[in-house]
Amino acid sequence: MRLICSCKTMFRIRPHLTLTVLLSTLLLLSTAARADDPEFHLTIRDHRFEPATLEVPANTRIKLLIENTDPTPEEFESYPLNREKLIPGKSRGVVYIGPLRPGTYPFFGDFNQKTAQGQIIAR
Amino acid sequence: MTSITPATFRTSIGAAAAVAALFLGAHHACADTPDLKVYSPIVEPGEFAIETRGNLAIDNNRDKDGAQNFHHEIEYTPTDFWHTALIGEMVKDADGSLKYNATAWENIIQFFPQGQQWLDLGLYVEFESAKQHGAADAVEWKLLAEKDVGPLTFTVNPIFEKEVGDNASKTTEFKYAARVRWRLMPELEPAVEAYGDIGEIRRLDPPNEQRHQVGPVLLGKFQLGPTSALRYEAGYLFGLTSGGSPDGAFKWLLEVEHYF
Repeated sequence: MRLICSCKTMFRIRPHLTLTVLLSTLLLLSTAARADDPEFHLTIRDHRFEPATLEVPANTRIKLLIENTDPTPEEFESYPLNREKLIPGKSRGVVYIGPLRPGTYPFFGDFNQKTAQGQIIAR
Repeated sequence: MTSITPATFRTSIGAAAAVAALFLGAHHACADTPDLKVYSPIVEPGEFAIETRGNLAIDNNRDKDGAQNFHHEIEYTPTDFWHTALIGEMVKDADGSLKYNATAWENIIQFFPQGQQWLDLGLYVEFESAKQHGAADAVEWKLLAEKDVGPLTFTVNPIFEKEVGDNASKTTEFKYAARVRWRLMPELEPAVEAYGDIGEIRRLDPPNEQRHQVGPVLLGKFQLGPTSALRYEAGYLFGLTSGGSPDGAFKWLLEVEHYF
């Protein structure tokens, strides 16, 4: 009850200040410092992923740099990894993945599913 | 000379938009016909889309039954952190006819690449120009927060809205939208969504007059071609308060996307 009263009082006094503090707190929480993530590279060429199989450390978050060398857009998509990232033609994109349990995680290019297939193996 | 990284630039724009929205204040004419959409902080660079969405209130009370809200949007995402759209809003009060209500400009700033931080965060800022006589313009901002947990994605939008300009009469209002989505397959993702409007934050509505709705929603995406897709949402929301919520509401969304 006391907590509710305090919140009401805060909103009455300075609603915008309260909201700013809320936003700032969330931003700080989400940007808590941590170690650098290891980087891995994928290239999209002729509607295929190179390499088609990528080995990454298990239980570690990784930074995946995806370069699309084709002139057309491609979408890196994986339901097991829960990632859907559009990479416009002749451009790059960044995807953060994991930490992953040991296992195999397939991914595909949504716009060229017949050829653009790959997998990430976490060991 | 100090260099500006993309992340610094993105965060600066987000912070500037947040401050601008906070100090401009952040509702508008038709609180009885809410917009029922949950926003993800994740934007897709190069996406051009046309979207139409709406909802229809169902209630035994004639004062609420049949109220409708429609949004028609043209969207573009020029960068990997900024999405913008032009919106036309139409509403129909329970006892009225369908009217053009407002023109709005929405912007979403994605703060970080997806998965980089523990929580994916973004900011939604909308400037709305009322088109009905005597109605007030409005500024609305939402914090967009998303977290993946196993096969589930949780998304929460605290929403702050304030009338501005000559006909403004309300102080900042607080609303919310939230969703938990099960990523079953691209074509079908079952979800539960919740929406609410608790009134002005300086003077909350009595609990029974607040709007709280919750219910099942289906989402999905079908490829239309090499670089085009059709997204859909359809669901039914149950009202949780007898005074402020309709007994039920159908909601739907259709979006045609093209990627450049």
